[in-house]
Amino acid sequence: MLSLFSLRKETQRRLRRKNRVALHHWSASKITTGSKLIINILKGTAIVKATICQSSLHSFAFVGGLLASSQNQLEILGPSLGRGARPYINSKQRWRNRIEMEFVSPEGLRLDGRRPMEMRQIRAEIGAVAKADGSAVFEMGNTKVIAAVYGPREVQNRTQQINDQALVRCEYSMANFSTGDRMRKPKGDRRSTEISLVIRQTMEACILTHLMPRSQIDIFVQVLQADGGTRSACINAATLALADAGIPMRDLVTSCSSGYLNSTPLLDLNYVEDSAGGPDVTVGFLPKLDKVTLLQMDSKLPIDIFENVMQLAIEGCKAIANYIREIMLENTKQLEYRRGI
Amino acid sequence: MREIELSLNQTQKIRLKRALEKLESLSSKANSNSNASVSISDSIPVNLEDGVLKGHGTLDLNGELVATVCGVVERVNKLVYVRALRARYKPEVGDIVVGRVSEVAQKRWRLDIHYSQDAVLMLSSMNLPDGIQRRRTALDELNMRSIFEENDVICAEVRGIQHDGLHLQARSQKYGKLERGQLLTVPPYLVRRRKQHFHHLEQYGVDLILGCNGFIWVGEHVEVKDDMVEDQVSKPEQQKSNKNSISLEEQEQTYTPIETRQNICRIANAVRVLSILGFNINIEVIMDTMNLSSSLNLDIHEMLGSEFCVLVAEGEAERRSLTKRKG
Repeated sequence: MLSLFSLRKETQRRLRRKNRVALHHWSASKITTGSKLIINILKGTAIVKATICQSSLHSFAFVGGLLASSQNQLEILGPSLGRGARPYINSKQRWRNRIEMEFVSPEGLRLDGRRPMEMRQIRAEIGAVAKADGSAVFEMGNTKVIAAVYGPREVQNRTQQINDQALVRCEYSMANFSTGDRMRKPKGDRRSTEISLVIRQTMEACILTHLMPRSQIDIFVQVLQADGGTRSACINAATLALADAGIPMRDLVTSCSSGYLNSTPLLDLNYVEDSAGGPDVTVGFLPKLDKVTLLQMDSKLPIDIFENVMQLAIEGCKAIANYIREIMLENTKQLEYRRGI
Repeated sequence: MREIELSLNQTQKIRLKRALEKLESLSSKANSNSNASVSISDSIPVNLEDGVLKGHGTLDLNGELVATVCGVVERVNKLVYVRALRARYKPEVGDIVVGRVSEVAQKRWRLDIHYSQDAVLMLSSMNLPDGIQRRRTALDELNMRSIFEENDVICAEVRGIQHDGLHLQARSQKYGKLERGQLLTVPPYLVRRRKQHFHHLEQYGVDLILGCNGFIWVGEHVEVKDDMVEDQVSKPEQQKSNKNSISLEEQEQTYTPIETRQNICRIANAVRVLSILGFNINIEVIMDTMNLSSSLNLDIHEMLGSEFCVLVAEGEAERRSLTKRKG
């Protein structure tokens, strides 16, 4: 059976973030747990399979990847569903309990159409905040992060002043609109405190703080769109912003995540893969010094597989470093020739 | 790449692009081999056997010279350093800076001059308003706020770096409090060090101070009275000077004439346009921009529009190509 319908913009946006769809005008009736859905994105490249994992009279939840698509039309093949279907998918726990999910198709494609070792598209832009000393926007697929650096400047709280090096501070926050459902939590929750700390430590390791004694460097990062890998994106954005602010650094720090699902190492996890609850390795890497400054992992992995997964993340870091270096060099050249002699 | 944030239409975009490309080609011809741009952790090609001196922005990494900032490699004899663009201001002794008072402390003012720390202006390193050279008493200390208050804009000279930070001095009448004007902040790398940083634009009645720290002051012209001369004058003349001070008070009440204020705004906008485009800021370029705007009969607010920016960019490209040919 086949039905064709167009999605509203809003629906499409949600679709991109989570597998949450409000489907309209479904024609017929039967849907049970375990039914397979095939959703084709018209004119797109990927075909995505989904499985119904929970259903009730008016709603159903399904698992399976959906992609960002510029087209508004989706083609639904498979069993027709009840009217006003409103699927939902929640926390990692539920995911785990529900089903064994297919994250890599037999054809070797991931839920969003990437190959296992393929990274999402990255984009970086220097100079997004006019008042800051340095700023940058960094995008990895649908994850979008903005970073601003102030300083080195006079220490605001004199008691924190360090006499032989600079004080580095970092604040991480997520915009309320960054996730699929609007976040209403106040800032300063445990998660963001932890990520702030992680970013601070990573950046502090590469900034030559002893060159700027009795001063303070503030790094502010905000997540504008969250689609997995926000930690990595934040570190990359912070590096660019620090470079833009002209702060001396030992080396660039870049970061990338990788995971292990369906016995396949996957590079640069997106939200769906991230919330599968499998191992998620985030690596911060200094490409020139060939050193790791950050290594985090959720869940467990055998050591030999872990090495592979980490190596994959490091490869990702190197690729990002090349891109970032290109962007910075281009920016420097621009500034120099515009100023003239 | 840092984008210029302007709302341009299609033609303007192309014109701006063309102008910038022209600038690029001009500068790439000028320094094709000597100084190259580097980004962080790029290695700088040097011959280490020659006894190279490692300057700012470089780091020795396993026998390899590596840049620690994004910028341009400069070589002076044996010294190799990287000149960072868009960094905070790095003071040098004798620089003329403009700053804002952030704190009045014991015997000193703390000034924000866009450096990594606040600069210090000691009470003892500036001339008192009465112009007499003497020891600073406790009374002077109590009256410090009558000289400069918090948030006042001040012009001073860099004296040097002592153990407790960067020290400034203001031992001449040309330094001191700046009033009736605008303070503009531009990236410090756009202001080059020159012989002259104070400019009196007579035809406009405007004072222009290009601080080395990227703070630019545009204000109404004030007559500099040299206190050294004043010391020598006899009593009757001192009475005259008293009269002068009364007339000064009257001047306080009278407003700055509207033409002067318009001129201040026009010059300020010229500086803003140049800063948006990232062009070097010096007196000639500012005057060129200003003349261009008045010859086009543009209103002051129109100077910040996209059309004028494109025109300035084209003018700059033209100007640089002309100087090129001469050279």
